[in-house]
Amino acid sequence: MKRNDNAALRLTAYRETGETEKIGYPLILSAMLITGMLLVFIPAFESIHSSPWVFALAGALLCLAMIRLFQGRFGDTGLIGSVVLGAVFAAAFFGKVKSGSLMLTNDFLGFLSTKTGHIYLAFETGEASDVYWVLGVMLFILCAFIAKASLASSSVFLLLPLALLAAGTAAGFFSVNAGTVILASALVLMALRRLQLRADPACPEGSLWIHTAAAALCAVIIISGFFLAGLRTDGMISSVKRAYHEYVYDEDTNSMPEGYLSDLPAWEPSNAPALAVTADEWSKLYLRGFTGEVYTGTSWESLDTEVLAEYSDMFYWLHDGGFFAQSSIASAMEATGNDGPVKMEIENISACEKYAYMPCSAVVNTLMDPTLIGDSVTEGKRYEVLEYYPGSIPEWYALQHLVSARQSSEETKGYLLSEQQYRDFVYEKYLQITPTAVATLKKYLDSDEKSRSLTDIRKIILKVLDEKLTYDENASVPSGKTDFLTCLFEQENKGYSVSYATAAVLMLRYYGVPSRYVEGYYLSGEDASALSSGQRVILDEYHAHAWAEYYLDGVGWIPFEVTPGYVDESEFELGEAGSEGNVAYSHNELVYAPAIQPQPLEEVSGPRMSFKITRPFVYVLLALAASAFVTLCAIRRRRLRKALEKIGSSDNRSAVAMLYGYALLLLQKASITDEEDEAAKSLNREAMFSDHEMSDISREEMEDYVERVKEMCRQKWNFLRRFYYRFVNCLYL
Amino acid sequence: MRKKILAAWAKTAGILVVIGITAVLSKSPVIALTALCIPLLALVSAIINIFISKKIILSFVCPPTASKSSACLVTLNADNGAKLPAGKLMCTVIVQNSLTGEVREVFLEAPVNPLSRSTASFMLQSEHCGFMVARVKKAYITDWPGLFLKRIESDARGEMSILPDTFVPVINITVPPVTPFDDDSYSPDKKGYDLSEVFQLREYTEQDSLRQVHWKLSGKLDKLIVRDGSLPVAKSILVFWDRNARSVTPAEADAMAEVFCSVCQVLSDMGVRYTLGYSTPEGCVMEEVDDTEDLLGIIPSMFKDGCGSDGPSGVQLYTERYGRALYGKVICLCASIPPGLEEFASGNLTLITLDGEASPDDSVICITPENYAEELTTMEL
Repeated sequence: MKRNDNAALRLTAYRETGETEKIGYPLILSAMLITGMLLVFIPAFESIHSSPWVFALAGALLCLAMIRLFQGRFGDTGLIGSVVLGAVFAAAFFGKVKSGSLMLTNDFLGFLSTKTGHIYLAFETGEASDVYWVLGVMLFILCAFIAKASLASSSVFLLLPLALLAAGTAAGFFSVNAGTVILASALVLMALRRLQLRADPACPEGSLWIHTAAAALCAVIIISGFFLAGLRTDGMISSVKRAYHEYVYDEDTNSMPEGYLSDLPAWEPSNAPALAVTADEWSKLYLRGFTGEVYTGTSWESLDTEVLAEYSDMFYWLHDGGFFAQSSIASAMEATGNDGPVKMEIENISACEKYAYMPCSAVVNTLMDPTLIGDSVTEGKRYEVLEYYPGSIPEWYALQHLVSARQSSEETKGYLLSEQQYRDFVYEKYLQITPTAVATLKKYLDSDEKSRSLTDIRKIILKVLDEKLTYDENASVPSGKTDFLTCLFEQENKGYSVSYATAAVLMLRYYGVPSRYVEGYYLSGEDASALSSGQRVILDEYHAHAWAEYYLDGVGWIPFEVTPGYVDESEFELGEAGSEGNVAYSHNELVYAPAIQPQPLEEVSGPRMSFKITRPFVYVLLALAASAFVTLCAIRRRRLRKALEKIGSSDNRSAVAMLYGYALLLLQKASITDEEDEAAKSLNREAMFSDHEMSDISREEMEDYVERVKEMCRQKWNFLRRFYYRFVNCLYL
Repeated sequence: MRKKILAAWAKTAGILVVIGITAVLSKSPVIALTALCIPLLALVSAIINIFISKKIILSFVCPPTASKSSACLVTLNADNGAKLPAGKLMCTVIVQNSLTGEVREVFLEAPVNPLSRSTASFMLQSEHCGFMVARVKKAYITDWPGLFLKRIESDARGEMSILPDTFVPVINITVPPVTPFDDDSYSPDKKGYDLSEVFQLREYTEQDSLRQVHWKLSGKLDKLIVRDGSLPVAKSILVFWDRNARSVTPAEADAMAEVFCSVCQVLSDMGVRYTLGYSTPEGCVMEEVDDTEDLLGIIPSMFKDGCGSDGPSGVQLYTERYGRALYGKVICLCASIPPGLEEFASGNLTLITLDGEASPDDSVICITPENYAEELTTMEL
């Protein structure tokens, strides 16, 4: 056989299977994790103007460098070193990092405003580029955690950032976008990888791409599922919210629906005392509670916090200047030099605890929350002492004339400056009406473009209500999910104050009069006149009432009573042109002075009032992270107990083999490599390869060996490691 | 290696171009900064490599022996004592068969992780027996993007023997018809197996046979004394491999090695004690072979010393040192008939050669790399 000398000596580079994926998997994982996180995180902050892909690219490169750095024995300290380095950098450039952090905080506070409806003052910050300093530090530290998590295929290191992202996404701060899908894919991939490593540590390279594709598919399915589920959860969420409200705030005796019109039941008042009122001077009282600003067809809701958030600056300056719409009548009174208010005390006995029940002309400047955007909500207290201006609707019409006449005075000017801003807001937001309601009203109201005076409008409304509705306290309106007004006018044609007030508000809005729906308690003029100064009167559920309010320019919100039995004919007639002794009012032709352009609302130079980040939110986040950590430890502990139980219930042969494996695991974790007991090794060999049963003595010997190994490990580990392996890693009990 | 570096440069340039275009289009200084980071990273890493390169130790791990034509794994370990990683280790390993002179190179690469060992392996398969020596010809570490190289000096060396596939010739040793009783032709300087003639007396060591114990002397001296037998010249065999006759091809060297080992193996299997000798470029190596174990221990060093063609032949070197070969039988293996053969041995010589013509009395046996097993089926000594 002739041999080919040229090929006689052959050398071939050898590559072990899985060598590529030793870095391939961590690279892919870390790239997906950092890209997903940044694509979710960056767009939520308005201060960051750069594209999130830039940061994702930088993050991926940083992760690659850190993966190389953390491979090998250096990994244990690399993570801590990275965090320390990031902290040192932040300390070295503290000013810029702080400024950047405050910018991000301001963005978050803006989001909080849209959710809570409160005003959160922004922090003072430096240059716009400072945000990149804090981003750099955060990115560096985040990449360290991601690199470590990718190498270990363990999401433990990502608990905190994932918890923050999850909480932010659930709260609506972070939007669901491509980053969410990528992040979800990465987590699924990590889980798959972990499962596979457990099953077969020497897994083939080809599975990397299969796993990645599977992970992406799972993520898309999960996210799609959430979207589909989300579309169906709106009704469920509102039901849950309502149930929670009833449980926390309401009593069983509360008879008003608080804006919830769907399937409106009959009115079932009771003698249960709701409020106890004491006043130095009495007049007809409308004690406002719930205020409905947005008509949905099945309910009256408050204005959306995201909508209100656009007016946070305006309301800040209004409140800072002492103007609150709830007490605009009182403010007008003060501006026009009326006599001082009188004292009133209101005690909430069994009325809904969420609202404060205050008269229309109350002085609430010191009672309202200045950080609340909008002035329709007053948070309830058990006991309230306030001041108010006794008055009636005709007197408030007269007040309007007075304001107009005295608008050149400094006080009135100042008042009108604020009132005008609020008025513009009212005309923007309090004319909302649904198309279904418009279609219904068109059948009964004129739809021409003719402008009408307020008096005419009121007359039309009362006429229509008189024709279409019959007052019946026992009437229910089973509207279900259909439009309440349509059901009321076209099917039921009867109702009580809730129905009348809803119809009146919608008709006012139909004619362009800003109006709102109010529930509360009513004390008639007749009842009031019988009361003496300082007398305490109990209002029960029979005094519960719903009414409409419209905005009287220059004055504020005025009740518009349309419910039969409650309409004060004398008030209605007052204001007709030519009535003697009363203000002549035919239609709203009052002309104000040429509009004084208000000064643009500018931020004052210098700090606003001091403000701190809301602590509860930080506590919630910490609690979330802590609970996730505790849950993980509990799961691990349970897993350990189950494993030990399994050993305990196994036969001697299996138990000996499993115990030996457990002992080896402990030795490995403690890096004790030369303490293998020959006797134990021999027992294990016998258990694994012999064909006879093991004795109880052998089992006990192996158990003793395990205990000795545990003791060795405990002696080798310091306190922190013992704590970690026992309570966090749950390696032994 | 050059291709790898060029590929790394091309990749980096491609990435920089993409990032640069993105930076121009988006007018983002951050993206432009990212583009600068990559070459900066390479530069920093290259500087770090200057320090890392001094802390990298290379070593080979290979099996001591392997069979012909079977692949075996040879591993190059790179122990990084530095706390920072380098990009990659790239090295060229050169493997030389000392016996046949064959040389091959293989390119290896491995990651270099901090404070840890990285490995790169290659499969070695040889059709020829011999002594394989693996050395690092060139070794470099790269920076993280793989753009710049830093040389590593290393004298790592791995050795392994590729054992020959021995065949089994039938060797018939003819004993002379008359052996004088008083034939006292023993080798004066070599001990042997004939206890009737004492070569030397010495103290007992563990491996000595009880038959060698001199009980009388032991009793007198109160310690165990053993005697070494002498080597009767008439019954001694020398198997000598003259490797200096001429230069040989790898196949010829492999064939001669197989023949030599096969003959020695058969003699050992027959229980014959013999002297094994072979020439090296510097001189001759002579070893006493009592059994197969001795033979197996000699083979690696025999293969390690390569064949030489310059200078005097092996037999000339032998005769210069030892004089005439005083053995009962001499088997000489050579590529061609060496000069000085007459002075080396005659009458008791069996020559196995690649060149020349066979003699009818089998004192000269001609073989070729293709037919040596057939030619040596039976040998008459």
